[in-house]
Amino acid sequence: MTCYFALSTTAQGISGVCALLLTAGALFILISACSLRPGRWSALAASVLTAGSFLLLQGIGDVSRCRIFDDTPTFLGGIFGALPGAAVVFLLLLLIGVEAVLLVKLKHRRENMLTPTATKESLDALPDGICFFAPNGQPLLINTRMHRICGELFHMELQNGEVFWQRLKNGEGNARFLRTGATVLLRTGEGRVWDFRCRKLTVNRTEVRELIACDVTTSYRLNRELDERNRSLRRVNERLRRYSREVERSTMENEILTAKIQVHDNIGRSLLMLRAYLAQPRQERRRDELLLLWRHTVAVLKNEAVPEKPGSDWELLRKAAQSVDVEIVRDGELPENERQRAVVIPAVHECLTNTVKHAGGDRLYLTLRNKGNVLIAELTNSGAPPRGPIQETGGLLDLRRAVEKAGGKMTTEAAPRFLLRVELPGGGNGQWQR
Amino acid sequence: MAKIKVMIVDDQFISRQLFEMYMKTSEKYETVYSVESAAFADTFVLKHSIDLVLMDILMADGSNGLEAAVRIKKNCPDVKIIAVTSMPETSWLKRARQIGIESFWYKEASKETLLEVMDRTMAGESVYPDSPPPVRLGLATGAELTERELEVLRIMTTGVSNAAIAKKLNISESTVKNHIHHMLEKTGCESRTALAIQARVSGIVISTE
Repeated sequence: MTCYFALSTTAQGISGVCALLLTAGALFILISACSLRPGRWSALAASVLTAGSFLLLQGIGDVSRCRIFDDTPTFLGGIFGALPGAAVVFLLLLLIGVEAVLLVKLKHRRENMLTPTATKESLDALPDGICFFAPNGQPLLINTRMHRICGELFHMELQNGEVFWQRLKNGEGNARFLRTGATVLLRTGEGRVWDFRCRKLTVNRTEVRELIACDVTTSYRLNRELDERNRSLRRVNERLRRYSREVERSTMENEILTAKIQVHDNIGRSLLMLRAYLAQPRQERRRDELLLLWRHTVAVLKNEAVPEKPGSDWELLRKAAQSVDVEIVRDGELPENERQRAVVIPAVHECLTNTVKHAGGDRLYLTLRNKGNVLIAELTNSGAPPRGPIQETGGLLDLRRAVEKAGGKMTTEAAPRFLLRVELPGGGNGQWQR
Repeated sequence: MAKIKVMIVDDQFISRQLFEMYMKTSEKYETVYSVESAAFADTFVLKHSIDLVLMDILMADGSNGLEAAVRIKKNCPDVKIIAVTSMPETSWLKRARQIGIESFWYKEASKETLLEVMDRTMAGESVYPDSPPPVRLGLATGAELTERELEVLRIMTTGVSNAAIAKKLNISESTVKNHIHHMLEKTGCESRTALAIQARVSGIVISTE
């Protein structure tokens, strides 16, 4: 195999140029790596690369010098000259490869590394003001926003962080101070609201103060609106309380008035009765009956007797049924919903009439149940079944109209016995739905 | 001689007591039932032979004596009915005649006593007053208002708009306005609200719907 010394001049020249460029690149990488503070292994690799490149360049240079000037090679030149040409080329390619890898890593580090300039630029881009200063007030880092705020408040550059903060805490400056103390809240002439907070930081065992001014204009405005709404709500609640008291008082007065009217009506009727009594022939007058009624009225006047209260529709209906010797047998609770009740009670009434008039029964069965949101009322009786199909006229026809007006359904059956079935919506929660 | 069986339907205790007292003092009549609502009054007459019903018209529970009379006449046409009321509502006389109610007695204003009316009714006579008792409505009397005006006034007391009144009576809204205007002129009331309140308080018109 041909040794490097025996290679042609052209091949050696090319090798030399490559070695020279390799060395320049290695030097660049070493300097850059030092400035970017890379990791330990990267620094070592850059140093080894630089040393290897120098040695290669020196060896190739010595071989070339001996060849040109026919001189005795140095120790390094002797070693390189005796090496096979392919080995030198391999060394060159190896170092170029290492240098390429390091260059890529260096590029990545440069892209990802936060430099002081980058830090300043990013702070300047913040919408909030920020200032780091030493305990003696000397500014270490201030962004543009904080400079502007300081200029607006004091018409000067921020030169001492501590003085600036103390002046803010004392409420000095061209602004309306909304809060002073541990934190400062102020509104500038432009209408912006700033919230200033200062805290101590320890960086590398050195105490640093951080002063931040946050733009809280929007949240301050929303807070104001919320306060105003809360005040309005308190006013409304107060009015509501007053209204409730008024309603209670009004209800009470209304009840008293109703009672007074009832007493007044009773007296009026007693007088009417007296008039009617006096209109009777003398022999038909019965003072004891008249006296009984007057005693009742006087008792009401003296609150000794409660004015008569009308019975419920169900009680009245049962009383009517008893008068015709019919027992109403109910299974299920009567609806509390007034609209349903206004249909169910007339349905029972109609069936009661039919039980007496047509069926000749002595019992009327009423079944009430809720199926989902629908109230189902079924009515049958103990009497004879209808002789033919049920003709819906009069009461049943009126009932059907009432049921359908209420959004319900009505069906009748003649066999095996009379059955009236009414389905009314809104059974479960008392809500009327159509 | 068997006594005439009477059912009393009146929501007022005093009135019922008064009527019952009449029956007790009379040798011809006896009280079979005395009930406080017209809602199921027709049921009472179904099984037991009742000859006469004294039927109040306006009940506190919302039931209406005229409607109950319709049902009684349908189920038991032979039962005689005397409508009794203290309200001067003008339409009730006409309606009672249409239903077939035999007689009509105003509690406070009729010339005849109730027993006289009952006797004449049971004798087959129909006893009706010529007109409702006179009622003052502002500067006017009830008789000065036309039937149509009273119809408008009756619906007006329920608090509905002119459009609703017009729809209900099947007349134009401007006609309703004219009727109201005429009533305001006759009565001297300052507003339709004042007119409606006076009408309701006096009882000249009572909406039962």
